[in-house]
Amino acid sequence: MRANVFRLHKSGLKLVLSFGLADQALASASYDSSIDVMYTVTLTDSNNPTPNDNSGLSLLGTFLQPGDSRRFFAATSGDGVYHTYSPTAVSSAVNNVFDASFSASGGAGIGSVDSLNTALFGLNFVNDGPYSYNLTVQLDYTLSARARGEFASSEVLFDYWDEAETLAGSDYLSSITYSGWLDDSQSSHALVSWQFMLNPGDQQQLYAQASVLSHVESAQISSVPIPASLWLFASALLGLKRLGRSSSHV
Amino acid sequence: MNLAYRIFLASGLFGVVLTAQAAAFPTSLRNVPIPPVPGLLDGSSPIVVNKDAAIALGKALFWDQAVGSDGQACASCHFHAGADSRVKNQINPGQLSSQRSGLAFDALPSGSGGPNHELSLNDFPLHRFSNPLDNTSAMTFDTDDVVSSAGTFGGEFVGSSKFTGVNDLCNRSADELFNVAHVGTRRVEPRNTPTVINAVFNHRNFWDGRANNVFNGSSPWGPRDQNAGVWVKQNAKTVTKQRLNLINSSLASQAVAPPVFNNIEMGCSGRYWPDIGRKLLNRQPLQNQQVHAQDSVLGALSLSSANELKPGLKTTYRNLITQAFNAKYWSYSGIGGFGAPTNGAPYNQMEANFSMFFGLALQLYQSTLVSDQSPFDQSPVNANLTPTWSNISDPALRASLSNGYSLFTGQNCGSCHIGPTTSLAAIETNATLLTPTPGATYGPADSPIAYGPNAFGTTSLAATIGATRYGSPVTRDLNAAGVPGLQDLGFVNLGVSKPESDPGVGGEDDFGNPLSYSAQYVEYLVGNSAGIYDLPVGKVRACDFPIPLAVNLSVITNSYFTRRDSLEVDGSREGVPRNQGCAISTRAYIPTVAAAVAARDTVKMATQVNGAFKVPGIRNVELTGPYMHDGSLATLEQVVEFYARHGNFSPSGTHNLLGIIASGISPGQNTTDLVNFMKALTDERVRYERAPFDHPQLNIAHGHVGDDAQAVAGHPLSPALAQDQQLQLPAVGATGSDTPIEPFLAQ
Repeated sequence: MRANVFRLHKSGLKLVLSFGLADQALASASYDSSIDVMYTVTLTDSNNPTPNDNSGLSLLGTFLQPGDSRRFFAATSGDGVYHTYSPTAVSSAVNNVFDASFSASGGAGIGSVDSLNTALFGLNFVNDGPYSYNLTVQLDYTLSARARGEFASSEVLFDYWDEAETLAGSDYLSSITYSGWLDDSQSSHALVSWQFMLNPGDQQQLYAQASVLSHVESAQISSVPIPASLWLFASALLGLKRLGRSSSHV
Repeated sequence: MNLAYRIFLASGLFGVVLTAQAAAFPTSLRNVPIPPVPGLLDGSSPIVVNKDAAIALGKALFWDQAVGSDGQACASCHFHAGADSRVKNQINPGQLSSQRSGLAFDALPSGSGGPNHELSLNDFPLHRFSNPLDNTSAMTFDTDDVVSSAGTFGGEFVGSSKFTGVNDLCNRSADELFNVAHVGTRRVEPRNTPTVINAVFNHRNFWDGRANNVFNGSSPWGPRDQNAGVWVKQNAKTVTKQRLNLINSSLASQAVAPPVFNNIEMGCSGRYWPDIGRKLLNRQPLQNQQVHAQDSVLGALSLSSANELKPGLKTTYRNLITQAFNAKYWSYSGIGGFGAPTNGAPYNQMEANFSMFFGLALQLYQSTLVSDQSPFDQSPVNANLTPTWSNISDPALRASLSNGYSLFTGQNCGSCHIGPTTSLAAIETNATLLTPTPGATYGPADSPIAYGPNAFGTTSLAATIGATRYGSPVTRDLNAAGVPGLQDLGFVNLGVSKPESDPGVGGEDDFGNPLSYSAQYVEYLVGNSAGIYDLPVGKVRACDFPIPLAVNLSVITNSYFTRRDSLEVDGSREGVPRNQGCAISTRAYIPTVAAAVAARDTVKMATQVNGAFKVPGIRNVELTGPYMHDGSLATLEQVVEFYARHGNFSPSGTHNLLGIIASGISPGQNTTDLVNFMKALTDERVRYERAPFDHPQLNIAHGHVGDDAQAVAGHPLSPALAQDQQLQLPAVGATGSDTPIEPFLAQ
């Protein structure tokens, strides 16, 4: 569940603003975009003589919200706020399903928000055993983007690839409002699958990266950027608070 | 005498003797292909993946007033048959002049002039003689002022909204030059606005050809701009800046110039392409301009109904770009090395590549603006490619057109206004049609014209002016004094203005390099490869020059290189066979580097490019006045008169063919017939703004409140600026308007 409450942490000031989406005045604007990924791993063949035995094969799901200057930016003015949320663990052992999600939202009543938030998902395969395993991995992803108010946009840019980039691709979703179209919701869903053999001692990495690029503006105002490092700190605090809520499946 | 010398040099020794009547022809534009752009729509990874979306994007951008900093759309200067028919505040003092007079406005023949002057027929022509048919008679009026197009107020760019508002935030004040009693007026361009209709056929665009044939993705300069390029996503982690080299894309090179590389036409200084992308991407196209429900391109996206016109499209520029362009140009999710504005968020890839999207979308839209349904285009032709005019019912008009066409071709007008594009500057198209291609034809359906050397006139007449299948972009021809020189094919000095008033293709680019191909070819001849910037220079073929550069004979002459100099086979230096298919094999030579260096300052190596301008296509010329690069002529009758007197200024630099024109073309019936012929080049779809020439609503700044003595201050952008007067252009759907557009100053 994603909350419609945006928490601003800045210099000890704690301000809670509610943008009740149902009754929002046109002057305010908001965005709410999310990415859900689910990797499903199927063992299709093996030379392990013991049925249903995956000895030596281990899978690790990872999640990272990068804060470097190439994948994060945020600036606000007025009462503009932004927020990111993931119930996904930083890393977790995976049996056959790795399910993870990420969302970014924000809004302004009298102000603006510019933000780029990125989520990086990984699925690491290691075969330390004596047997070979033939695996099929299906990536099932859903992108959604919503923009509300007169001046709001939110894009989701999504990439997936394996370490050797034998199979790589991208997807895109854009939600923008304009005069006469003040509530724009978009979503897309797709499946991608890999097949590969893991021989003894082999490793394989699958990745997915999602970025949410958003801009909302309640009125024509001058943007007063706030240093990205400050927002990174605030975001990190919030992220740490949420980390305990993982949802990986075995 | 010049004619005799030209004939002697061109063919007396080596080929067929010309007569004054043996000129190439203008021909029908029906079924002529658009010059191909490899890699744009084809190949394994095309740049444009949805042509229809790209054309819609291009049309929206072309007409959108939010592109400029203060309400100027591309269409603001190209709204009337692709050109500009405004009459108020349209004068530039001649800023391209090397003389100080170019910084001062003159009083025009009507008695006044300068900023906010309202032009009348009394002001034209701008160069006058006591005998209008004799340019050696006393000059009774002259000016270096230019009639052109009003653009922006200018200013220093500060920022703009991502969502709304036409105008940018700029620091604005009254211009030192463009003002009326210190009340700032809109700046005016220093050259007259050419039409965009059929401009896709031009090898290079702008009057001086500075819109490079090769589009580099971000500037007008093609390969000359070392910093140009586009950002290409390699994978999720990597994006790289790469050079783009799209040939036959001069329209894209042209398109990216006015909004950024020019502080007169559209934008404030210090505004760059990513800033324009940031301003527009989230917006509805044509946010404040009505779009007709039956618009031939935008109708499906229009919010209008049959009963109500509404502004805007039901999409955004961002959505159109993602539909039209390959995702590798916009889908990089991170912050690359794209830069950032002062106090602003870093640019993203889509913003960083906005110049490419803009340029190519406009090019694809303008590629649809082909007017090929004029009476001339639709007339059947006989075996000599002469129109029969059987599509004209009025016998008197038919007779007039026949005589007008005969005069046009017989007096060498067709030598420059050649072929289906009526321009020698359409190098690629002309070369394609002059290439023998089994089964390929163009022209009217009931009398198709076969591709090949006779496609523009029998007995290979096109070759006599330098147009061949090989598309050599440099020619060698004679000037008025009968002296040979290297010339950029399709760029001609007509003596419209004094050479010091405007160098034309003899000018330089922003990096101080010569614009002309001829100057670069000289550098090639002397072995200086560093002096060659443009790819087409490699296509220059000496044996296609009408006047030879070198002849492998033992002739004593100062006009060209001979066996007495040191010669080499053309192309042998690079191993390129430029001596194949030559009409005269003894001309397939160039001087050795040593011989060229030794003769560098002689006639043999001379160029004739100063004061030369692109030969414009003349379709719809009835509607595209004022004429010439300086806008000095208001009517077609004045144009005929100009040619009858062999130009305004007759220094030796003018083209030799100008002097061959018989003075008897003006005045009287011959002028009437010539004008009638030129009017037969009008496509009625252009006159009535029917598809593809329909358009959205446009509000155009047309001078300022007041006159050239007093302008009323108080523009919403600044109290120091004059209030705009507006010209309202209503939205028109595919079926066009009931009201025809009129010639310049006809209303």
